[in-house]
Amino acid sequence: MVEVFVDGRPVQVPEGSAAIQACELAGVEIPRFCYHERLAVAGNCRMCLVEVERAPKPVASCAMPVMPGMKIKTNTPLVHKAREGVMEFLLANHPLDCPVCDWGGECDLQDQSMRFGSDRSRQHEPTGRRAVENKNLGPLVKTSMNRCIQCTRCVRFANEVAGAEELGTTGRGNDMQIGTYIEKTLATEMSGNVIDLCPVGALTAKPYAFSYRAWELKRTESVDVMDAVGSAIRVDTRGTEVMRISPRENDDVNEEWISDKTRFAFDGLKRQRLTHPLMREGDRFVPCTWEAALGRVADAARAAQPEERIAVAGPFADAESLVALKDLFNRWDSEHLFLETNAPELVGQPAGFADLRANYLFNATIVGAEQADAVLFVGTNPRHEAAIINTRFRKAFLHNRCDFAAISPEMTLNYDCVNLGDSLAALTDAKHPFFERLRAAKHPMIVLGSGLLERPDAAQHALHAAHALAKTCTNAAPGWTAVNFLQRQASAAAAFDLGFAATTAAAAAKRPAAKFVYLLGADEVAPAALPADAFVVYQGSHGDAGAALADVVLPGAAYTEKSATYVNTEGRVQRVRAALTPPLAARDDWAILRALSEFAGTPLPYASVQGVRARLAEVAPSFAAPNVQAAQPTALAVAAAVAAKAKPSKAKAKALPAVTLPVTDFYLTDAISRNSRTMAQCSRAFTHQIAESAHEAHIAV
Amino acid sequence: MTLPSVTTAVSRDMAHARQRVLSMYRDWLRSAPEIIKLHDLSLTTPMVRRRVRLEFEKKRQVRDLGVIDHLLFKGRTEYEETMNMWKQNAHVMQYFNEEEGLAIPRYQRADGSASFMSKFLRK
Amino acid sequence: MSWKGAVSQTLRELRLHMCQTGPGSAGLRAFVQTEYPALKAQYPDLPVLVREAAGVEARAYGRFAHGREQRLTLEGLSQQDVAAKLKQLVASSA
Repeated sequence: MVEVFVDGRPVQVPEGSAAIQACELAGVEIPRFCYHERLAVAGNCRMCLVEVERAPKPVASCAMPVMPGMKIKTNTPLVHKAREGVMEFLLANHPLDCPVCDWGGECDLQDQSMRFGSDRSRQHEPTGRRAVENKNLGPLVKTSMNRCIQCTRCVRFANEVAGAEELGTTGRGNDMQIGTYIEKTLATEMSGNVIDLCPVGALTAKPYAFSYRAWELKRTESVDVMDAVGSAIRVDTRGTEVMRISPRENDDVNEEWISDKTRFAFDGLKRQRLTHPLMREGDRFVPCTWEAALGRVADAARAAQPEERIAVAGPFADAESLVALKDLFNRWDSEHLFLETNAPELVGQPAGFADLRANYLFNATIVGAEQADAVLFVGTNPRHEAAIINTRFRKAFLHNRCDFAAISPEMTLNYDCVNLGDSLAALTDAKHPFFERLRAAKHPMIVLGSGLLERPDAAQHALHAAHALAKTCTNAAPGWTAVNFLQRQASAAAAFDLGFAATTAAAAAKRPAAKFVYLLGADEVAPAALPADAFVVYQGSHGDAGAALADVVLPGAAYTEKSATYVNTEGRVQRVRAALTPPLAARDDWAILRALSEFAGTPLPYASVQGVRARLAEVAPSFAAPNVQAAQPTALAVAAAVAAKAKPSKAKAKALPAVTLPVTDFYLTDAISRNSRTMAQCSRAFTHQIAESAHEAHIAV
Repeated sequence: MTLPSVTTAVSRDMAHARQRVLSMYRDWLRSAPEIIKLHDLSLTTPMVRRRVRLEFEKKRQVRDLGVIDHLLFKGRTEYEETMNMWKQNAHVMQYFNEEEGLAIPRYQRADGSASFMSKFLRK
Repeated sequence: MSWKGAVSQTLRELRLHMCQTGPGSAGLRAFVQTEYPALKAQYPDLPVLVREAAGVEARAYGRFAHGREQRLTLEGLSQQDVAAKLKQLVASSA
């Protein structure tokens, strides 16, 4: 720690930090445009100038490392003049767009010019401000390059964090332009974050341009459920509509970034919503009352035998509704509960998979992924399945010289990754030179993907082989876990925690044909897996493939409309908060199941959210401690022991099918994103590379 | 957009009155889905239409033209207040107090307090 | 220890809650490490959920048919006592 003096006050700062960080610690606000804590220092905006004693000129505090005894002055006339001068230069070429600019009200340039700029302009006639052409960066980011102040935050973000090296600067001085130069779109799944980073309105959101002002939005802190990372988000609503989703800071999970699907898929929340209970009559759905619908479901459940009732949970099922559904089915003596990750054929889990938390969680933690120096992916594309964790891997690639290899079909990642083919024999063999690197690594990681669960025997084999491989990594740091499982759906970890998905493959194979099927938001179940005469109930928020199979449809709430609990892929329990109420006759998911239990004559013992949450803690104690990631040492030890006994063999591996990737199109993976117009445009532009029409591409400012 | 007001008219004869009544009936039926959406009701379109029909059936036997004009005026007022959101959810739901499909009173506890089921159905 | 025939027909799920490092859960932790593989080998389709959380007291829940549950406290017990109590739990048909 080094001591410096800011405005006369002494403050202790870590060595190697910049003067701007020292000033922040001292509580002094330094204006800045180009400096960002999570990006490399550029020092080109000159707004952070401060006066340092015995320095001939004011100093850019973001680029000045602290030295012991340095005296920094931030309130002197020199500093004031410097700030006013810099602001004047920035505004000289900045267009007078505030009334039509989306960023008005949350613009750094507006705020800092009010606070630190001069009160009058010296430009008396609008003599030719610089004009720059707008660039087409795709259907998500709207560019208005006249407003760009060339802070290069977007360039640094795209190059470092997102790995999209097509964004850069061309020209210099007054002619400097930010763009891709060769008319490429910004085809990365983190592209939306440049909208938050840009301090002015040069990069804004195209899907919801011109639709709101920042001060009329009501902000609700919540958590994202479009993938299993559980990024911290802020849902901004106006009235009964979600207007946008912005990231919140959470250093342990998503830092300050969210993926494009998280950010832009919310317009799917307004389309194809289930608003009333529906009953099938022939080939039409007829709206009915809750009483009628629940009565019909209860009758159908009673008509089936315990073994003939099954339930399938979809990607957005929250922990409260999972435990209510499980308790209800258990009271009916039915045990066959499945997760959509085992769909479409409803095959069940590998034996003992759901028993030990270490089997199905990302044990190294999301923060730990940054420290990896050799990573092997098995059947997973982290870029599509957990884009935020992918940024951590990229950080490991840049700062830790991490080596990557994958056992999967060919995939394009934003870092170098060797493909070892798509056979699990490669994992058991471990002959490729990459495995030498893995064994010598201090922080090796083997990441198994949720796509493996579609074939329980393959998943079992991969798990055992991974543990065997981890055992040979003798150079690993103590306390480091090498074997990890990457979930791709927000409901999966909670379902495993609660014992919801505990039906083994062997038990599933023995069950009789289902007569009563309860789909909790599950849309990926293959129609062939359900008998034609089965009574199907669909409870969810959107009318997608699952509702089309149903005999009774019960409308539930989406993730922005309920207060619920989700567990992310590292086992962190987080709460989603309601920003709106469910539309029309839709209800909270757990409440629907509680009401159904009353109609069925087996009422559940809890009638309030607190009751359900107490039950959650009773089933799995991690639910009593939210926002914390808990290590599982006993489970890890037992998992390794079980794997050691199993002795995965090469012959068995050769008999297994090739590894496949579960996500083919990042933008269309679940009911909400499939109903979103923005996601459809992204799929066209980025997955299928169909260029936008000239009209769509250049929306006028 | 607010619904435009209509000038209070006087029916020339029974045929004219019948025409006006049927036109208002059609307006009500047509706007049943809109009413549900505007006031965020938990009802279904058939339930709203049945209730409207019930109101009209109550006055089926009226033969006095003056009374019919008065009822048309009242009906149009209710329509404007409902569609222009001058009424609120509570006012609209007053029409559905004894509605069988809602079944809320059936699930209330003996002392009249709300049980889980009555709260669930009421929302 | 042999688990052959130890589990009754009506047991559907066994849940074991323990603290990762607390002394009160030491017996249960040791039990899980030594006995879990054998128990699972005998009953591969029985869910035995091992859940660790900081500061939680050692306890076991047995879920039987029709959702009836029985709860056992195993805080502060040695591995042998834990084994004895659990054997009793899984054999019952409550």
